[in-house]
Amino acid sequence: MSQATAHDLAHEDEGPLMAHGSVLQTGITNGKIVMWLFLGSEVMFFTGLIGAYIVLRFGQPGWPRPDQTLNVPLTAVNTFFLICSSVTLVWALQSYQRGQPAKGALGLLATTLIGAMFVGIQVYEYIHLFRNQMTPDKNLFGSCFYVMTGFHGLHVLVGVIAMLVLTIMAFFGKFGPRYTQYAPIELTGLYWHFVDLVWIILFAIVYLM
Amino acid sequence: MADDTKHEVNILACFLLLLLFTAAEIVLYEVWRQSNATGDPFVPKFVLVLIIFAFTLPKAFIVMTYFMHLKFERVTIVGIALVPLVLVAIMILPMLTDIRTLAERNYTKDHTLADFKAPPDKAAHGNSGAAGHHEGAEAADDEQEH
Repeated sequence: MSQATAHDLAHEDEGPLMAHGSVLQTGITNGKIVMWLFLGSEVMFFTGLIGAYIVLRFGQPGWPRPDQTLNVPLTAVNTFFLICSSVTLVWALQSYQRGQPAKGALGLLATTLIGAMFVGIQVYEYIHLFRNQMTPDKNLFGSCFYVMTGFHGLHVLVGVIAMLVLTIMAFFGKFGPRYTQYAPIELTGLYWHFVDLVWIILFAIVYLM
Repeated sequence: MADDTKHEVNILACFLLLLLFTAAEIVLYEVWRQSNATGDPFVPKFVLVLIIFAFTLPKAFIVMTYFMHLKFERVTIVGIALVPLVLVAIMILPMLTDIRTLAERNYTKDHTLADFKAPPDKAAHGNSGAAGHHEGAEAADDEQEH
């Protein structure tokens, strides 16, 4: 997300970043580096799952057709929701950067609600699949499907909780137009967009392949 | 320098592109599914998969570049983001030979949940593990081909 240069950070003399000496010589905040390292490990995590899925899928002669087992249209709508949540989050961040905290708080609220909607629809899908005897122990497809989408759903749930905390903080006026004031939104946003990115790939691989 | 800190992203353009690619994926898949149901898919399935990935990658690129602001980040951050991708490539490469072999064997055929059910004679013998399952699926394949 938005990048604070070394010059910009160095002149935020009253900001907590400088106060705690957490601006590295690279000019990048500790928080951003840590978040990107975390996301790097998450990339490996999801790639392991996706790689295993691809090998198992190609190796299994009788693989169910996703459209006969899963609700592709519903999940397509859910994908649209997640994309929308990323858009509202970018809008929220840009609003704070422009000095429009009311719009920013609204954007965060929208992101939280849309994210919660995504989780809700996924839970509904799981209930529907379980009622149709599509359980994790049904076959390889079932176990792969639940592991991949389940871990992703868990990530979204964590993101929704984080967004809820940010939204509450936003309505208490905790964020502002300076980098040190909107950095939590930026860092949480990186995580949120990453979760969106993973879903874009998972949707194509699990539902459309 | 202050201008360097805040990069405006054209949110609407990104949103419309993401929407367009997602819609294209779903429409393409649905059209293929219906043509496949008639027994004459307009492209083989592996081509469909390639096309869907051709739509998915730009979406991933847009999210990484503009939403996660990698386009505007310092080299250090871009490096941190790229290292896992290199590792991913290294991880995927050894799998490719397996995937190719398996794909040539299996992937050109279309399967249903019924393929998982062993034929009655196999089931009567207790459906002995993966081998029995495999044979059952192949039998179903043969039926489909005829």
